[in-house]
Amino acid sequence: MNMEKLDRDIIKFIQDDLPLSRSPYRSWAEAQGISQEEIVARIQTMLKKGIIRRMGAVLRHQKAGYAVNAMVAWKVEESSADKVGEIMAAYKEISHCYWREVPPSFNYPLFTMIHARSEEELQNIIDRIVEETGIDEFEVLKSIKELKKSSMRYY
Amino acid sequence: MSGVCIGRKGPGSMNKLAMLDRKLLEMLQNDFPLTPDPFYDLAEALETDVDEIGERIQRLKESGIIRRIGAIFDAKKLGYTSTLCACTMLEESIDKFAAVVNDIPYITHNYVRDHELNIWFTLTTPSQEERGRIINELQEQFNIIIICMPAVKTYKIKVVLGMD
Repeated sequence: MNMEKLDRDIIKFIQDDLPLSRSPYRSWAEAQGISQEEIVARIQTMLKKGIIRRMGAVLRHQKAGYAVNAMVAWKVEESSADKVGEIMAAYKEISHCYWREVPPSFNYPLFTMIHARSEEELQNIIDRIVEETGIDEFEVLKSIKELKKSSMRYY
Repeated sequence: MSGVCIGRKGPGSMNKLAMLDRKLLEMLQNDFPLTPDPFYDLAEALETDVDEIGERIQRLKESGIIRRIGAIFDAKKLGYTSTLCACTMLEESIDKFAAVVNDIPYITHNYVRDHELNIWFTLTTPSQEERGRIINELQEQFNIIIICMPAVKTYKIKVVLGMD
């Protein structure tokens, strides 16, 4: 994508933690020779274009009370991918739902991230999904250890 | 969500959070004001003063609940390409693998999971070539076979947590 330099610089700035101050954009804007209103306007444009998906707080799931975060991959026929994908996407406990290209050795192409407050709640969510979709072949990939979790840094 | 958890968590967990903190976290995630003075506008919306909001956000950051406040991008629209990767790795190699991955900025998430494929990570690169280069290097260095599972269709991406 052909991105204007100023937009790229703004992206580099707002991929970090915004200063917790009355005018969090001002000193950076002044250093670039633009107004803080211009930064805000450009952020709004990038939001409209979908380049920025969301502006706001990013939380740590575990610390926010969601102790059990499981990746669950489901064996779904490609012909029913959309139907099942959309049912799963409607669950508020599911944050991510993707159809992935998978090798024959791991034939569970529909991936979901499920966030629950307890093991029982996770099991309960899975049971509801199985009942609603009829998909009963799946792999629960519970995380044993977080080795790295960082925000992507662009440019 | 309806799960109720009473008194099982340590300090800094959600059930100890005051009502105002919950509303604040909800707004910080879903309705962060796109204005030159966003924290003042948040305070107005929550009918409190800006110093109070600043102190609460500071505490939520210190306790680790808020990772950061900023933008989340669509990697694809920025010309980047992402994939989920997995491999089977010997227990004794995991620490070294974790250390190597920590120095690769394009790998943002890396987990040990309870499965024969015990290592799962995400790789977001400026190009397919860069992806291939990183995968090849890791495969050679650790004598592993990495499988790549790029998303071909997205049904949902919404990493906003309900605070009720």
